[in-house]
Amino acid sequence: MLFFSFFKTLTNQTVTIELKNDIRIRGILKSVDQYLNIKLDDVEVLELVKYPHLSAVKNMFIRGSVVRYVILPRSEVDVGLLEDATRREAANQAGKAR
Amino acid sequence: MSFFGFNTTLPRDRDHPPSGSRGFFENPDPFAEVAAQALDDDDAIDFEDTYDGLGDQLDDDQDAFNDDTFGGGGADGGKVGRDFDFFGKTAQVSDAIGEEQVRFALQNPQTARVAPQVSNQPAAEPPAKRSGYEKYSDPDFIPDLQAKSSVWGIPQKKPEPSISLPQSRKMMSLEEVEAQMRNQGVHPSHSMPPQIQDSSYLRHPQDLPTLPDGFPNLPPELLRAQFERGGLPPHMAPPPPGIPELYAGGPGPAPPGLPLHMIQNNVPPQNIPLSGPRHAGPPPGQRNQHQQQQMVPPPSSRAGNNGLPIITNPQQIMQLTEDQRSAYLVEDAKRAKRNHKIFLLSRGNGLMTPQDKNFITRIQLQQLVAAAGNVADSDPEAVLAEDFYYQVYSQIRGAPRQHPHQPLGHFAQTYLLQTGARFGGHGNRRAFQNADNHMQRMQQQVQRAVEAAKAKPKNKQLIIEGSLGKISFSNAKAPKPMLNLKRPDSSEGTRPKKIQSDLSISDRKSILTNIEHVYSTLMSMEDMERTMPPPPEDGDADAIQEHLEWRQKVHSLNQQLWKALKVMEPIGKKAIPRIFRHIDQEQRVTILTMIVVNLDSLDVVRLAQPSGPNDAQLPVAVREAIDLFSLAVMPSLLGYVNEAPFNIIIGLLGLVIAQTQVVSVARTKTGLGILTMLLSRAEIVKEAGQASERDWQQWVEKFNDLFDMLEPGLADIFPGSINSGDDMYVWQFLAAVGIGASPEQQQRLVIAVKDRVMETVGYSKTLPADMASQRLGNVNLFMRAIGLDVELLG
Amino acid sequence: MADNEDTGAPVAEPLDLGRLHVSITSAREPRHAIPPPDRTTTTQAYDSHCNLVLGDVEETIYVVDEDDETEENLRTIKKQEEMLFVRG
Repeated sequence: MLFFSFFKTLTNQTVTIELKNDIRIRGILKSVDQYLNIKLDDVEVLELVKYPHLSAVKNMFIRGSVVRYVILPRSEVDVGLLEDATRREAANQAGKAR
Repeated sequence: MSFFGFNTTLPRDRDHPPSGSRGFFENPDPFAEVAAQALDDDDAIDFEDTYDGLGDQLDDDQDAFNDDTFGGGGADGGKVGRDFDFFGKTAQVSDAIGEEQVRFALQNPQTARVAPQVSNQPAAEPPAKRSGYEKYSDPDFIPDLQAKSSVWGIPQKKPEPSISLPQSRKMMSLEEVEAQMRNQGVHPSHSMPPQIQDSSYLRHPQDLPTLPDGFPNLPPELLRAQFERGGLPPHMAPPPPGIPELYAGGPGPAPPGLPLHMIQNNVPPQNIPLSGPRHAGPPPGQRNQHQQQQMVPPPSSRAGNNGLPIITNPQQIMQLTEDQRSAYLVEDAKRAKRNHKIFLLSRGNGLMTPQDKNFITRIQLQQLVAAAGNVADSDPEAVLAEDFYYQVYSQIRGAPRQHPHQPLGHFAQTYLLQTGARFGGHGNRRAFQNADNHMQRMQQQVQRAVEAAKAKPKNKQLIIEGSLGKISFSNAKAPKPMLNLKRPDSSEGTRPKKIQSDLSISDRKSILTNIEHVYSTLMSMEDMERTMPPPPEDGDADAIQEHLEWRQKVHSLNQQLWKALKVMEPIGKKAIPRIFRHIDQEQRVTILTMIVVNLDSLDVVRLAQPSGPNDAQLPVAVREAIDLFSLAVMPSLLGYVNEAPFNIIIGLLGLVIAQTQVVSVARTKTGLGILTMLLSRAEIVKEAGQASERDWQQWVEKFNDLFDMLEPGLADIFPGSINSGDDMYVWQFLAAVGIGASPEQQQRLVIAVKDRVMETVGYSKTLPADMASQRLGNVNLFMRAIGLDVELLG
Repeated sequence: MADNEDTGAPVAEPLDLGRLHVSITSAREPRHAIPPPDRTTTTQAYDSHCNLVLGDVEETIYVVDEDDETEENLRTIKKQEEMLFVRG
């Protein structure tokens, strides 16, 4: 749940998502669920020339599993907190595994 | 077989619809069979191309009971005709049958040619061969049967059938068909009179009083109810929204379903008004009168249908104007299209039982509820554990921060404020659910399912025999299977030791492990802080007890942390500020002391030694480490040093001099920073007059030592060449030295750095104004400390 | 991660080790990318699905262009990001 929690804090931020088929989409992160499915608004497809079929798409739902990267705005990430959250997550997982 | 008993050869089916079969939907084209059968009745028709052979299965032996079934020998004394009861199901289905008949006729002109002859001599047929529709051969009906377009004088309609044929391959409303029929001037065989509609009995009141023997006294309502309940195959489409009024009295929200042709008949809104009188069942005495009204559509009923009259009788169509008729046909086409859709959708009907659906719903809900956190999870700690980042982040970012530049590591303070509002929301939701009994039950059910799933988490998925897929038991908290790693019992394996840089992997790992240990202890301390009970009030023994216990725990954690720090080991830089919050003064001194003692072995000092006079650029990693150190560690140390007693400062300076290579330490930013820190603190103490004479003497001694040690290397403490720019900290240091220095020392100082001062001043003249003033300002820090100013050098 | 590969040491508890690398510089190799010697990437967060958040990433994509003469031509594309989520 760490990344679900993490992405929730990034809603209404502009992110760029690279899909596993190389398409890169920039848009406003509207919502995310526990599968890390993502809803984007005001999307803009990078290298639109390559993907003209996407030129009319204004918002989209992206299945989490097709995401390769999400490029995040650094200013919106609290690195120290994120590291702590990771430690907690690791501790939780270790606790569950035993 | 036609399951409504339309086929005379299977009369038993009339009272016992084949509920075991899929009935109407058994055949991909529900009407093909009907059409074929209709053909079968007419020997003269060559139906080779469409006949499906079902007629061969007909059993004429079964005709013996036809009279019983159809009331042939009933009240009318053997007069087969109008007294047949096609009330109810027969009437419902007959429309579709009629349509199909006509459709076939349209497709097979031979049929069309032959049919009229047959219909004109109904008496020639043996009664047993017929299905009880003989009443249509009654003189009363002959006008209908003979209806031809030539009679109406509208031959221009002729091409229409060929146009509508392809689209109406499957579905055609009765009225459409009728219109086509007339336009073609043909009529289906006598056994398929288009007048057979569900409402037709209303127009033939004489049929009603003379019900067949089987149900002589049953009121129409009862028969109808029976028909709706069990008289039809159960797996048919529920009625479309257009007709709910008709079946308002039906069994439950999902009636067993209606045959498609019935829907077809009832869908058009103009037919709905008929249902009133039908259900009400006007007394027989009035029926005649009622019938008369129906024959000519009352003008008042036109409103609901784009001004089209209610068409209950084919004759009405020909009374319409051309516009009305075409509008009517358009309406019908729409309806037919919709019915076709319903038919397609209804194919999957009955595949899943309500229990199946419930099961799936429960699993889905279980996953959702597990995500939202069920009641057991409303515990704030659990939520925090699952959603730590979000919760804390929104606290930090959501509320305006008092100190925007406070180190992010201090977020722990805000833990105290979190929770609360969120759970108010939860409570509201629960209250709402309590009000809603159904939701509550559902929730309980889901709760049980969740618990069951928790109880046996081994089964990650379930494959039910015959199901179309597997049902995953993953829940929202673990949406996909996690890496499941086996943890060996003994962590010590045979591990090849390979030297990596200057630390062996095991050393590196143990250091990292130590740092992690520090962090986890820190986090549990921060958790403790968050759960700090309110300050005890007088007389509240419990609270005091609680508080004491809490202090105890904090203390033990503190010890744990202290042990974990293993002061001698390298310490994670970022942890320092957080650690400082949790340790007492003595421990802080120890840390500071350790840092000072080991100053020249700290990576930020050791690795930061410039390798050559002009080698300005340190490796990126080192530079980053230095930045980190000055951002994370220095403020904490400074914060402490600024409050530290003078003797500690003196002691620390003594340590630097005694324990470290002062010259090399001074060549690094970190080292100079610490020295500056100590020197300036001493100066502040002196200014404030807090220093005792003895302390001050000690300090001056140490300072002189330091100065003597530094002096030869003063020219080398600047980083790289003059144009590298980042030398402010050096000037700061020099300023700190200069303030504390004796006049004689100040002179030596100026001599030592004179060249650099002149270079910088000269260099700044080549720079843009703002950068130049910045550089000169840096120099001035030092110059002013010794009572000079760069302007004097000008 | 890269450190493991560097040493070739069998890691009994990869995720625990991952924990050690939080905030400790390590290198990430997406799509055959090799970190340049002087650039460091920081693992900011990870979970049990190996989702990662990395700071200061340089991604190197290796593209092999094949000519008609079966001559392989290696081309690299580099992309830099300040903060990157990598789907595990």
